[in-house]
Amino acid sequence: MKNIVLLFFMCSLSCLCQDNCGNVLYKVTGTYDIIYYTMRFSNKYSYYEETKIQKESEKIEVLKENGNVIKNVTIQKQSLKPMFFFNDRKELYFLTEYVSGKTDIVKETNIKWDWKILPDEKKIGNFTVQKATAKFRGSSFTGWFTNTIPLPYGPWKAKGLPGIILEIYDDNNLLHITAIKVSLTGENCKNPIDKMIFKNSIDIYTFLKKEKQEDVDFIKKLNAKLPKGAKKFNVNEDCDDCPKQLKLENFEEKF
Amino acid sequence: MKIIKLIFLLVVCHTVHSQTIINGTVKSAMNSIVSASIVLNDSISKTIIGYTYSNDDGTYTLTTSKKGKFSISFSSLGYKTKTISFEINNQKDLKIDAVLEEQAFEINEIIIQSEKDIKVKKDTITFKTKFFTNGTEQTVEDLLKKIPGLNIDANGTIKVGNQEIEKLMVDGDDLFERGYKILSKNMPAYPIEEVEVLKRYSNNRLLKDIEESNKVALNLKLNEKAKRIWFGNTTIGKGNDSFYELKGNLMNFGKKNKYYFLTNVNSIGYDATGDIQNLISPFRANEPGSLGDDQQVASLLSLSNTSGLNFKRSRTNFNNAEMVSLNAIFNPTEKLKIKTLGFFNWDETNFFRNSSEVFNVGNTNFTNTENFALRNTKKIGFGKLDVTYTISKTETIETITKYNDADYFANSNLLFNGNSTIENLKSNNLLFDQKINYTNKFADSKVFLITGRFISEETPQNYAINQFFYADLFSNAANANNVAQQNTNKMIFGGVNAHLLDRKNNGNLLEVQLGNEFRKDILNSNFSLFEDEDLIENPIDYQNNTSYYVSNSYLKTKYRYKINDISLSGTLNFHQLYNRLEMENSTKDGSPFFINPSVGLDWKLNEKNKIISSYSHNIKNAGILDVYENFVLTGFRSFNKGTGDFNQLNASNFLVNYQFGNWSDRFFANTFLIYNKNHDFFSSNSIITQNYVQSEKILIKDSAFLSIQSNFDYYFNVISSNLKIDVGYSKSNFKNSINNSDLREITSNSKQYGFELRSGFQGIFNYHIGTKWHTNTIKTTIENSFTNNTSFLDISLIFNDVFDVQLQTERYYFGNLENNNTYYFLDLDARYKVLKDKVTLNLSGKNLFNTQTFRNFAISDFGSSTTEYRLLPRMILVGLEVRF
Repeated sequence: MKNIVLLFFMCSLSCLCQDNCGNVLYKVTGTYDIIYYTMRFSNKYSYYEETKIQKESEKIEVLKENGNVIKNVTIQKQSLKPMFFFNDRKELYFLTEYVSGKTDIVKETNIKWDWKILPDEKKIGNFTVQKATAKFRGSSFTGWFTNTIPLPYGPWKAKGLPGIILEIYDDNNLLHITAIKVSLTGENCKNPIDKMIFKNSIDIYTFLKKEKQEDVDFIKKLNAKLPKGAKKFNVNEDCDDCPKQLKLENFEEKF
Repeated sequence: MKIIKLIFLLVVCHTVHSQTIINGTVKSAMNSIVSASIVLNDSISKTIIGYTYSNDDGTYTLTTSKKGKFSISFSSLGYKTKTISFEINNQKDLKIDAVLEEQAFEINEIIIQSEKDIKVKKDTITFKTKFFTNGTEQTVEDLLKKIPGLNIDANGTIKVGNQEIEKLMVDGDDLFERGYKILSKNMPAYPIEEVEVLKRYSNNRLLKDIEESNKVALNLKLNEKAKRIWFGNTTIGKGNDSFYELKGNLMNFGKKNKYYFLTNVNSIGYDATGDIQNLISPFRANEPGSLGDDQQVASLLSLSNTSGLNFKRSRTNFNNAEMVSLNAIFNPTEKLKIKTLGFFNWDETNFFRNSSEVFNVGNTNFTNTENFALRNTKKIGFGKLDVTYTISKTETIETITKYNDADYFANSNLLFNGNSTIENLKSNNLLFDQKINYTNKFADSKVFLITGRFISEETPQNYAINQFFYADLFSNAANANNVAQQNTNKMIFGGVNAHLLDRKNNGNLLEVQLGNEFRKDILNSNFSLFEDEDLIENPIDYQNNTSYYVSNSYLKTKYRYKINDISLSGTLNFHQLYNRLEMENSTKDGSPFFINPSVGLDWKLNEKNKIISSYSHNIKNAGILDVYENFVLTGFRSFNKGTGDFNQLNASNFLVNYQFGNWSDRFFANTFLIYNKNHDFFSSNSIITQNYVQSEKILIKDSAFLSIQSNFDYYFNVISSNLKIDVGYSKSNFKNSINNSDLREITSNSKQYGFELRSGFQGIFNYHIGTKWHTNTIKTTIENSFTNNTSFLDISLIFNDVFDVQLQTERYYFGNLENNNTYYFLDLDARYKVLKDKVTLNLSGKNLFNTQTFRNFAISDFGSSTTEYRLLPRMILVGLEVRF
């Protein structure tokens, strides 16, 4: 009898435990544009998705604190092009859009980041972050992670550090991601993705082949649309004196 | 014994290099904690030796080969971090469990970066070239191909994303405007250190982010230590008969001064002034500071009339042209920039045309035949000086001075109805144009411009014909046998404009302009009848002594309002005019006031659907060519006169453009609808006889024009080709009077439909085929119509990087010609790169079917005409292009 009561008590207590989660807003600086991504995370997953900031419907609050002017901006989420990265600690999935508008979910199994943790520290906002470097698919990356949020997540495909990565960039400056806002909410922690959509995912090499084919098809379509007299675009893939354009990820296998 | 020692040694070695496995479970009071972070620190240096995360069941494993004092931390969100110190000596494995205390989860929002940084758009992106090049780049074009995000197509058009650049500058200096290909294809790449991409570019730097601009520009920055460089190219071509071509571009660039010299000498029908047209008057439509750009002197007489030709003008242009141009930019100090441009053009062109015109109105019927051979000689000298001074970070002043002196001699041999006639037209154009522009950016998003302009232009003309066709008009001059017409056309324009642009915080734009434009036109015409050398008469009613003064004081307001994807713009323009028309015997004055409103809507419904619509109501004041009161001889058999009064013309205009999809989608459709209603309209009252036409301008009401045009694009994946379908319909009606009839209503409508199919194959071969039918109907009391067809087939053969051939064939069919109604043309262009980017061999063939003449059929509201043009014969040109 006592045991049953105890069991019941324990069960009800366990239902009181809350899921701890939050989100981070990242600013991604690529070659031309600044894009914003939001990463939702909890103990079990991280979901990194593009956020579109509508300038017109921004709400701007200007506060004065201790003589400093702080502007708080509330951002609306508007993802017209769903592009996300989902990490459930076992696999990494991402949704990509081809130049033709079609989308595919790509599954990356066994992404390994061999992080070397260095003693350097700095501050990002109120967070103390520590430096770590790794070589990933041909590029050298530097990441800054914080122990305050001890989860192995990060923006883009980065993962596996003792804390959440708040800043990451590569040596050639092709990618630079910085966190600009961190929220710990404790609500809405459920996994936002229905796992059913991962059923038709393709692997990374199939994806690369498919992407190349889509690019070729796109150029063919553009060439066919040119007006009279316009000379067509030439895409020289294997020309001798074309330089290998700096790519963020280099895949060893030739396909 | 030995074996035991070996085993012992191995065991000892193994233990010395052994790893310690640390494992355990992380728990909370009730459950195991999933994904807790476990970090192993050296207890002295605090460096992280290793780390891991707990599994689904709360267990973890860490391995290290180090020895000494360590601390291990267990953390998880919502729990207090627990740190345990321990020591590793020789243990093979250690078990360390942790029970974490719950900690109140702090709901927190931490803003790391203020939004002000995000608000500032990144409009300048800089690339350091050394990271993108490998040393094999010869020209700037090669270099730009390697910069990410830049697209260079086979013609050398440079685009950022999808948008062509406005200009290509070197150290902020631009010599070419949109003609930048001369620079990108010839300038060597080695002295360039940085490439800047400038988005939302404004020609006037102070207008950036205030005026609506989607323009993009590139700026190449030269290495500080780069010495002065010389580069350029030259093309020499020689063909059959007397066809030849010589082109040269020579550039000398240094950090402070840049020189550009270009020359073009040819007899292949090519008009080289087109190349520098964008330097003489850069395209600045509707940009602030464009006061007076639309003012030009009015000319009455012209002998070379090539309108109505719907094929390449160069096929009928028998020419012998020489053009030389020198341009320079000086930067004597950081604040001062001086640009100079000068060019000289000599051209002799010949033009041949035979025509037969049928006139059929009421009871009057006749046919006129003309055999026309025209020889045109022109000599043009032009100079421009552009000085920009940067007064401060927010103020600049710019002055542009232009000077033009041109002489034109046109001489024609005309056989009119069997009468041999010689026409002679001598014209001269003298232009002086001065513009001053002061810009002041007095606040972050507010700009104020003051523009002043003065233009003085005159084109005196002297016209003589050695025949007298107008005996019916001048009964006193029965012995006359030649005539002369002398015109003085002079224009003086002065204007001042103040322009305020205010870009509001929410993106809306307010523009206010206040100014005055003053224009004085002098039109004096003198018509004389001669018998040999003796002057017989200067007939009254054929002389003009007109001065027309128009002063326009105006206030223009414009507001552009943006909500989400809709952009609304409203314009309200107030004009107070003062007109004064001084004629031979009378003077007329008037001060009309009117308001011109317009509204525009830009609506992006969603990714696929866009609508642009606008409505405007315009009142326009009559120009000098509408108001002169007596007849002027404007051609060997036409007299024209204006109304003798000034008028305002009222017109309403409505436009809708609907776009479905984007240009790069598989399916793309675009429809235009234009409706124009002229409430007042200048038409003509004409007396048409066999030997002459007398036309006087009259003001009538209500003329309307409607046009609908649609085109559809669909890309067929199966055949890798894109199908374009084009359909259009337009209808217009107006009224005029011929031979003293009542006003007759004329309705003209035209239908066109056609399609094109173009391939996008990756291989050597590509085709582009198309055809278009055009049906035109003019209805008065009778109906006249014709159907024409134009077809083409282009074939492109790109064998490899160094050799390609382009073939173009055209077919023209005229429905109303009884015989000789179909014409074929074949052009060929082959290029062979002997030395990549240095020497190219060119073979070009034009009109290979050797079509000698081309006949065109047209209808009008009083008859029809068949015109035959003589064409440049078959031409085969071999050319060599060298870059240095």
